[in-house]
Amino acid sequence: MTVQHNRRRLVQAGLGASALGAMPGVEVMRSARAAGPGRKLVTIHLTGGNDTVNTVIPYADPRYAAVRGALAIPVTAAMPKLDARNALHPSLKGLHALWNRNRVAIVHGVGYPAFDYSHFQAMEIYWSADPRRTTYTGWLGRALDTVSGGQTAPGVLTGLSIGWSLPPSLIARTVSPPQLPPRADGFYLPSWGAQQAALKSVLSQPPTGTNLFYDAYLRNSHAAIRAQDVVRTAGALGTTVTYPESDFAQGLRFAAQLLRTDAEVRVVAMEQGSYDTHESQLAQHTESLTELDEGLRAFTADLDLHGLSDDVLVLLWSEFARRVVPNASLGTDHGSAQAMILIGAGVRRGLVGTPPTFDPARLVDDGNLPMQFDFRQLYATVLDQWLGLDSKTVLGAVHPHLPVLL
Amino acid sequence: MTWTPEDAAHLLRRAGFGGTLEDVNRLHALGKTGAIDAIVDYEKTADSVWSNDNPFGLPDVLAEWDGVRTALLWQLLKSRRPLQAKLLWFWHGHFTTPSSAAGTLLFRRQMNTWRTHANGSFAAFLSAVYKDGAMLEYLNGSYSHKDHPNENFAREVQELYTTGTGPYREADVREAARALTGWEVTWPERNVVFNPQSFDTGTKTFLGQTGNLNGEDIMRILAQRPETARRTCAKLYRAFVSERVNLVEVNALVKRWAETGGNIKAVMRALFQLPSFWDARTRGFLFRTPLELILGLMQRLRLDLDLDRARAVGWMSHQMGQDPFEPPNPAGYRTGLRLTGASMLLGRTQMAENLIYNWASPASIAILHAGLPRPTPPDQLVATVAARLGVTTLTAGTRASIATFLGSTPIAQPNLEDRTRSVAFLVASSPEYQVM
Repeated sequence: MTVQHNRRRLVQAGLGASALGAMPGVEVMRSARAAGPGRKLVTIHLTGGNDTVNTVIPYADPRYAAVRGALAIPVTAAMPKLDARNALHPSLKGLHALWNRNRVAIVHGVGYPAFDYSHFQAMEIYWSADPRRTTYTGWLGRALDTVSGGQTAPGVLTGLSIGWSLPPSLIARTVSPPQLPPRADGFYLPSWGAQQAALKSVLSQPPTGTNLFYDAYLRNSHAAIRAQDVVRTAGALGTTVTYPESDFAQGLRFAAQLLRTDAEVRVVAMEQGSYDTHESQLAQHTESLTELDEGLRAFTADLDLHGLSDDVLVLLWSEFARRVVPNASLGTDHGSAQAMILIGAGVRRGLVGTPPTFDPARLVDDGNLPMQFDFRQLYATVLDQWLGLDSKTVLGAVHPHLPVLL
Repeated sequence: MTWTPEDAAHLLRRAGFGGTLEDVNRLHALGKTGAIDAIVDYEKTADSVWSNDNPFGLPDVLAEWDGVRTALLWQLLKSRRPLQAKLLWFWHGHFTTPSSAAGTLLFRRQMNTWRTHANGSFAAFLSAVYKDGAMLEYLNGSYSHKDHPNENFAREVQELYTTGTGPYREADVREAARALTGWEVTWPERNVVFNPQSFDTGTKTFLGQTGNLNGEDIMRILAQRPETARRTCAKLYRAFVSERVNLVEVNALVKRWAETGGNIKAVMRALFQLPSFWDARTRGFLFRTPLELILGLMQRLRLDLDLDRARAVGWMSHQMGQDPFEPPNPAGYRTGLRLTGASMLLGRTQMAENLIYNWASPASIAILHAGLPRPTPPDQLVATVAARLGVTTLTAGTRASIATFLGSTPIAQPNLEDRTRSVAFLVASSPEYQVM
């Protein structure tokens, strides 16, 4: 793999990576690829609990077809195989092409101790990176708090979300990462002239400190006003890559436009799906994965086209995987440890951990996959080795890294 | 304590969507106790909207993908029973099903069922919920079979609809799923039937009770749990009183729940009598949801709804982060701070502009400036428009921003309508209008 930008091979010796931009003259060689300000993370939450057993399929395991029954993906020659034992779901053709270009890393068995089978509690744990759920902030928000100490110049975006969900992973103490719509054109301040100036003035009053809703309204309206110029510039950028019409794919298109526009953007959070396949799973899972794959295919092509593929890492996660044994409705109920997927030119291609087991003796909680890695290990790896931030500050403890990045 | 028109307006905003100024005055005339009774005992108020399921005269309301949704928006806007409309919206967000999940017929039936139970016995409500066709379709109860029962409803009914996490373990989820087998929604009639062949007749142990339990037993056990009373009362409190939960007051609601065997109407009557409900310091601690904001402004300006506008209400609400009758997941709609995304908030100001500039006729705008002296002093216009929109006290920042825009010269009659629209737009875009 070639590394196009020398600057990104380098990191400043001894100083925090965030100082890199300010003092470009004192960079020294550290490793083939170094973490730092040029690096961007796009997280995509596959909502509802993705059935990773049918996403990264241990097709050579004879028990797979037996245990999965009607939900087993048929083993065919055309299956997008990763190696002699593992294959991707047949809809993930684009992801398979990226794997063939050494751009995909898969970590099996990601979870946390004392697993929670509730969508909502599991999401809170992954959003906050705090299984005890003692903080209202999100892991990405806390990461942004440490970027330039959270003090950014007016108009500078360091983090944002695209879509209608306002991911709590982005809740920060010092910055307000704006939530943007899937398409740039819905993002405008109404009215014009003196009346719009009055509106801006209404929305720009200082926070009250007494009513948290007033203050959230003012803070995030202000974030919207600040983001307007970047959004307008980004929205005007064209691309020759054709994206599907889904909100998700259009959101990725907008993400690429924003990443091309604003070099300060470090984190983009998005959602896709639903993967809550309690019933008639085969069709619904295929539909969701197809939307995901087609969107990612266009997005990665767009990043390639604009020279950004070295800078962007995509993390696919869900609140849990699904039960190994199907239910009577041709679906699967809530499960536990999942396979998380990293995509980008910076990943170390491969499968980390052991593929899902179908051995009843090794399953936990009456039919669920055991955890192999704490999810905070993956977060720490991304924070330290990709974003060049301090995972101990963000996560409150040191977690051993996983070998997923170059 | 005195009972003011603002108190009546406050009651209407919380117990309904806000109503017209005449609604406020009518309620005020009843006195506090009379007003609460009129709100709570809503069966005594004649209301024809619920018998009109096709207000826009569609050839076949069930064949239109959004026929039921748009009719429901019309019913919520037009109902003469504010609390019934609000409770229907509340319970739809609690025992939630997206209208697209089960088809228009089942969703229409579900909304009729929910409305019937909205202020009755919680236990009877719950008993209707688990065998409701749309719910069976949404949470996969339909055709759940004794061999590998589906756990979806069995989990969510505990986690989201009754006790919340705590009392149950994974084994309880699995045992409840067994007890809930046997129900089917037929095709194409869409009738709910019980098929004994697929019901698990074995012994189950659920939350410490053992026997050949069925769905009715599971619901009865859950309805009787103290956690259910506490969690539901706290949720009602957060929806109707304040996001800042006062435990003493929630305990008072739980006590009323216990005394009445979980009677929702009794709990609501107690809720509207809580000191915090009326306390000036608690007001403003509910963040108005997109639909509350839109319907509230429409009612106050007497804006009518046709099919195009009903669809536009859905679209505007979507831009503000909430798709009416399409909750994002089984936990229902997002509320509070999760509705404060940057783009969602721009959607609020865009909505205000659309309603005030495109939908409101001169007659609607006259509601806001009627009776003011001509020419009109700007500060008097601002205070009056704000008060009539329901904001008694503007922040100094909002007042100063609008004052700078208007200038100090009294507003001549020909400009009054235009200036009133400006003030209404700016007030409706202010932080103080987003809360209630």
